[in-house]
Amino acid sequence: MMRRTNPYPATSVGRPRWPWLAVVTATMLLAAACGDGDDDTSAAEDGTAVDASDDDASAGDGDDTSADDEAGTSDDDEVVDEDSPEAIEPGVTVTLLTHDSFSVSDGLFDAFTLETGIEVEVVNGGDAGELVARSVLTAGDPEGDVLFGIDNTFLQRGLDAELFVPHESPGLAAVPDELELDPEFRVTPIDFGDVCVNYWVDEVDSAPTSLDDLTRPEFAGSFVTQDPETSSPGFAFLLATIATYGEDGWEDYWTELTAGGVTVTPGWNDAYYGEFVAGGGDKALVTSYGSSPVAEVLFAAEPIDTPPTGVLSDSCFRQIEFAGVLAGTDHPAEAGALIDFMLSEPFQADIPLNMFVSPANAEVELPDLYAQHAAEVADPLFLDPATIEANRNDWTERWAEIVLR
Amino acid sequence: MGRDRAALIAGAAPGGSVGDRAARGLAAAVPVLFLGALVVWPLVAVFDRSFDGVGLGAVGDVLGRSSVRSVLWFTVWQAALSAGLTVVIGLPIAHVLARYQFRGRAALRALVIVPFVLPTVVVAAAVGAAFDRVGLGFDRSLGAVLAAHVFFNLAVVVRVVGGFWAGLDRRQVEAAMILGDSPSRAWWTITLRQLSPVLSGAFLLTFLFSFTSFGVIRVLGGLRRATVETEIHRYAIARQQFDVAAVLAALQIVIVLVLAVATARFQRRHALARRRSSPPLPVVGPVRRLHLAAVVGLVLVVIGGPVVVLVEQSLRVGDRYGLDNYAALGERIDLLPLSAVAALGNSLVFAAGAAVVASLVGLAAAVTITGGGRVGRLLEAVALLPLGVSAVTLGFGYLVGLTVFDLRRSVLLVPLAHAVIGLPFVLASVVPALRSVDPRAREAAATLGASPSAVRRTVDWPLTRRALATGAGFAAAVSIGEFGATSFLGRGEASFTAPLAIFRLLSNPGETLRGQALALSVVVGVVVAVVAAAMEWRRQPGVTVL
Amino acid sequence: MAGDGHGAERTAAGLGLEAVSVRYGETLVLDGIDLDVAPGEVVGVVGPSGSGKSTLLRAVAGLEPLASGRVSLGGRDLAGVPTHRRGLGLMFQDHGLFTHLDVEGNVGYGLRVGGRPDLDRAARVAELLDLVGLTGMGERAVDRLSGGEAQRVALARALAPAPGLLMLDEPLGSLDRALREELTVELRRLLGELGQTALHVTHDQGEAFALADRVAVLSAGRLVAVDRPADLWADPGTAFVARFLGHPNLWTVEVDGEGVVSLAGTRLGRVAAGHPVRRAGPGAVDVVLPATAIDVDAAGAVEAVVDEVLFDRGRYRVSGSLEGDEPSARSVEFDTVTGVATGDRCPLRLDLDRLRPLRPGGTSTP
Repeated sequence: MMRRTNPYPATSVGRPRWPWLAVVTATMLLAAACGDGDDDTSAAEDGTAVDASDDDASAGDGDDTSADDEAGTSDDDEVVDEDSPEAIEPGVTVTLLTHDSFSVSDGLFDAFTLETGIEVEVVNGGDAGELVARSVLTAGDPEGDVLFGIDNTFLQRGLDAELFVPHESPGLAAVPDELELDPEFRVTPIDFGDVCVNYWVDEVDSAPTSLDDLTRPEFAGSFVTQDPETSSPGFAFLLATIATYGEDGWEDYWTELTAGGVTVTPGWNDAYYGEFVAGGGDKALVTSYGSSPVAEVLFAAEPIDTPPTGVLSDSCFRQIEFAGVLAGTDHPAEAGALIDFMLSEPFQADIPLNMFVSPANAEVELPDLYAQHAAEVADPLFLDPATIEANRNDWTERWAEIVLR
Repeated sequence: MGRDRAALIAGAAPGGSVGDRAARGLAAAVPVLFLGALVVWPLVAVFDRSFDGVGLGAVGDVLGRSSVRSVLWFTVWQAALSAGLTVVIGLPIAHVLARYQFRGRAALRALVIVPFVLPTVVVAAAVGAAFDRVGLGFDRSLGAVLAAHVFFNLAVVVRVVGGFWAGLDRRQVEAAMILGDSPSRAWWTITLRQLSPVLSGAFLLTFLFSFTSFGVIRVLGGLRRATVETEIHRYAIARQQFDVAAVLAALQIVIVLVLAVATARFQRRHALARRRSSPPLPVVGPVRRLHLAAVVGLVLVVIGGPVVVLVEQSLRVGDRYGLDNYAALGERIDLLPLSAVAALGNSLVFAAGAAVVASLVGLAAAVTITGGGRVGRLLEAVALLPLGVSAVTLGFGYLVGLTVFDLRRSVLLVPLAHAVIGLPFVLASVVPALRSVDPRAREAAATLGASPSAVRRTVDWPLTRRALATGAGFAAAVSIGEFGATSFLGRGEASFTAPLAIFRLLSNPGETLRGQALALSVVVGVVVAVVAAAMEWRRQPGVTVL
Repeated sequence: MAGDGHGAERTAAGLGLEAVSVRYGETLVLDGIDLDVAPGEVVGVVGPSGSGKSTLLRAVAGLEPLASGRVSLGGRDLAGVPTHRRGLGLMFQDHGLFTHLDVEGNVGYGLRVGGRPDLDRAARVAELLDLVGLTGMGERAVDRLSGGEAQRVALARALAPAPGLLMLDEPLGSLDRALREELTVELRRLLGELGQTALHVTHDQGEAFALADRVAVLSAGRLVAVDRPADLWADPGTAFVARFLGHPNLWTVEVDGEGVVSLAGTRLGRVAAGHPVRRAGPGAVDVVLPATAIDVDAAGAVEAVVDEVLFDRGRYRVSGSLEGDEPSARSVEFDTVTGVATGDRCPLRLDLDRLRPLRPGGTSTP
């Protein structure tokens, strides 16, 4: 089990901080890659996907190691070969610590359990912020074996707290490089999505097309967003304005937005169901997700073809969700196997209509409903996790100065 | 008299046998261990972790900030105002429910407890929408916060006070009136005095609820209104400055303990023995009819209004009305790990467990508390901590502290945490009842050959059974409506309860999801009302018996 | 043990108190009480409020810890015996009935906790309800009872387990006079028939005199007199006791060597040699003369002017003053069946044989 820490590429020592402009460009490429993925051929093999990916997992593990780790001796190879089947103990229960929004289809983990003998227990640990906070507090003596749901806005905090031990999943081969933010493989990207301003189509005369539009008089008093300190989409929207207007311009933007009258709620549901038209409120614009129109169609009271909401794609901030093996786990091998499964086709294909985000695995075909109604964001906004963590408290404090006082 | 008579009668008299002493020791040990393991130790653990490497300078630094002092001041006065309003509005309702005999009394009593379990966000959304529809703005304001605190906590005053009121001897008021007191003066001088122990207890509970209220402040108060509770959450979760959060949490604990001790002292000083109870009055004559109508009207407006709005909205399906949202509750949808109905099943199982544990521990604690002594006084204060300490603090305490037997990872922790939160309600109900048992009756029983344990069984128990039922019902209601701890300590499917389902439904866009969330809220309300009514019904074995 | 008693086969136990003291903090509430109550005897304990009467009962019951001394029942030391094992019955002024139980439940309580079988118990309860005149009222709720009925229930409850000692704490205090007198008679008969040992505490000396075989007077925690009612009445011993018992004629008289007794210059008569007053003299002697030792008699040696007349159930209670120049020192009270009016002059015959000297002390003043 220990050898897993061995074979990481030398690059891991000097962890490069990606300049965030480079990341933004990279994300554009990623978005393009996703679009391509839809047409891929892999969908035809649905039935065998589980076996295939799991075979990949066990075989690939060794292959990758020996291939990547050039310093590895033949002894190491033998160890790998002997260990791989033994490293995973059937009958072990792996605990997946995740946020409250985690949701999968019934019996999704059954195939994994059948294949590996590992049981999966899902533990929801509050919202994304609470999840990270409790993990940091219990760092080294974790409540679970795998953490899923830490996103790029919190990633650096998790890494700084040394929450994770590295695990390089073979499934990463199918994941666009742009999503892999940790070269040391301490976290593995599982899905991504966008936080975007949504509007109620019937309530706006002309759809806004840029963040600038939100400050136009016609939208005065009709936008509701969330407190960046207590809400993940609220923080993402703040980051979107920072990514758009830069360190020097975002405060002016918010000053203008506030002058026009912006409503701020503590959380997403207070905004969407309390203030937005969808819940009977009078606000035509809300900070939500690029995929929200999908859910509006899927959960409409009477069947509809066109969502009642639209997405302002220029406002979209990209969130990537990661999974990682928690440091201090008694079952690192089994935890790694679970992450491998989470990158495999069955799990990845289940993501869009359960959690309304896109799978990280580019080879997985998106369900029609999702592909049709999720916002196509050609150019999502992005900021480097380290930058976010370094400035988070300062930004939210300055935001509060402008908006709340 | 330099000596606690109650303790003497309860068995501390010379010659209390070894068995009696062992029984008393056991009665004290149960709540001491329970609160020690589930309140004190987790708090110690989380403070230990939070202050790791932080000096006392940080404490002074946090307390020295003027923003912290203004937050503290706002927290205290809004809680005091909320509790005061709740008591003032709750008293006439408690009076009518306790004293008048009328058709629909049981239904009214059941209705009162419904808001207690409704999720804040659901009520806020439903009521907000209703206001909007009739063209009234629904402002986030201090008024909205106070109104919500009254709405959610009214049940505490009505039921805790009402249960005690029903057992009061009316002859004293009558005697005062004969001596020349006006009815209102007699009420002030006699009834209020008789009620004061239980009234102060109910005030304290509602104060603590408002003191640590989170959802109401955040959703209805607007973001500018910060309380100690919301600040703890902010520092612990968003900023992860655990040391600052811990200083604030320590501040909360100090305030709660001071209040708890002061209230307990007041209650001990004002405890009165109850010699006999008076049967409820029939509603005859225009004065009583008018009085009854006014109070019932008050209940229907304050509580019935929002409930009716909620029901109406839950029945909306697109542009028509129907039961679709209710029908959908039985099926599992992908967003939820269980169907809403199955989640409600979990809620009921936890509620039953929490009520049983809270009752047993609460009864043992109440016996120890009324027995006097240092352990009892300590228990009385510590038992209130879970209500007055932020959920984040205690929740983190569980994660850090309850590593023994891996309790933090056990699904049992959820009902146990519910029992911890329900315990103060059991005590608020049982302790005054136990204190009001006529010591003469105990002495008479002892001289007739009843051992201390027999006295408890045959005298104390019948006279406190009703209060215990009230407390247990509350503990069950607390459990059914509980969100924070369940979400924080939950173990996935096994602890997926109805409030979690409501929140999960509301955390995705979609009209049917909103409809189902509202429908599930209504169902939860109805279930709690039925549970409460069932307890009422069991509690009335005869007209004259207490 | 008597408390576990079996119906009629009671063991009337004797009560012994030896140097019993009870302390509340610094205050000595009972101070070295010595008292014996024989089996079957009824002892009334009287004293002003605060004299420690109720504490005495509570100490016997084990409801108050002793600071020192010893309580025994039937010769058995009760030290270390908890209340419920003492085999006592206790009846309170405010009866302390169990409001959650009906009449039958109250009366049968001691039998139930004593483990008596149901059938047996029902019979005993019925028997007791008959005894106290509440036949057939077993199913009444106790808060629907009249004051007298509640007292009878309390009595029946206390008697049901056939206690070795029955303790009555102001048992009739809350009742009106007629009812009180009626119940006093009944209680007297009942205790006699049952041969019940009883300790009866009251502030009303009349009630104690009516009920008790002997009366004990408490003052400030001390026992100042114990005697049979008639003896105590005839010779109270101290001014405190005399006053407490309601004796009106407490005088300081002059006794000369010849046995001539005079009150503030008025000659009252002469007492024979060997009379206790003579032994206390010669000189100034504090004495008491019962009101009943004074008769209106035309041949009387002294004359009194009537100040006030109170008609009380067929008799006139008269207070007047003997002739002389110090009216307050010479007031005299007496009863008469003949009508008198204020201002009348009454010739009085004083039965000086019943004149008794009073010792100093025994007062409740600290």
